[in-house]
Amino acid sequence: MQETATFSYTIDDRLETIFELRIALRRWLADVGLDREAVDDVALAAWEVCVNAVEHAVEPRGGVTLVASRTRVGVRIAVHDCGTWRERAAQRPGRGLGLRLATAVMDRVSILRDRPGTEVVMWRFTGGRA
Amino acid sequence: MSRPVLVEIVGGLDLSTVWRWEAEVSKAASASRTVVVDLSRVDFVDSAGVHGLFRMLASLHAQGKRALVVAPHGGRVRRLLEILELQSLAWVCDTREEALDAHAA
Repeated sequence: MQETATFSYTIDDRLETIFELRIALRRWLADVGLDREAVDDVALAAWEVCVNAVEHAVEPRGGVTLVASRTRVGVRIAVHDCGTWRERAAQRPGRGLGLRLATAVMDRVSILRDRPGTEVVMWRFTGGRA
Repeated sequence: MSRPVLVEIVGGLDLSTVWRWEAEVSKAASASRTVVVDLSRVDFVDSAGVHGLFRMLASLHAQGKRALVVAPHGGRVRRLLEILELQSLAWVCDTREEALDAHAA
């Protein structure tokens, strides 16, 4: 196994930047050997968490950073924003479903709020070669 | 029995497009009692898209319309409906032909 492959991308609160992230992340996930379904699932989970971060964070101007790492056991996605999340802010119909969807398509999802901002860490253990 | 009207959703069904597709389905519903929503060519669906689909189906139901959904096995929409355990919300078919047969039955 070579050194861990990583991918890093910073978005702001414009939707276009999340679209661009999704396209770049999909390409990277395929490059590191994930199969089609895993690419679709991980890209969806990343999208949902990034949309949430941009919509929830009180002050998203610091940007939202996604770091993806390919390890022997799978893919780890960490999304960090510098804002303080508003639990009930900006009630878009259907919100809340995003995190449920991300949890359903990933193998593990943790949300860490005990640091400046919020970090969501997700793992996908299966799919493709290591 | 009126002829079913078809709406084919192509590309993304996500938070940037879902409002447009809801409007399309709503417009189509005024033309027939049965609406076939073909999602075979959807290549990206997110939570906003899934939620929008529920709203479309609920709205059709409330108007006394019949909704048939085409979402083939192995496709993204079917996968998300399955993992969220929501296939029972509508009559979900693999092909458009199957949907039209279901309409005729």
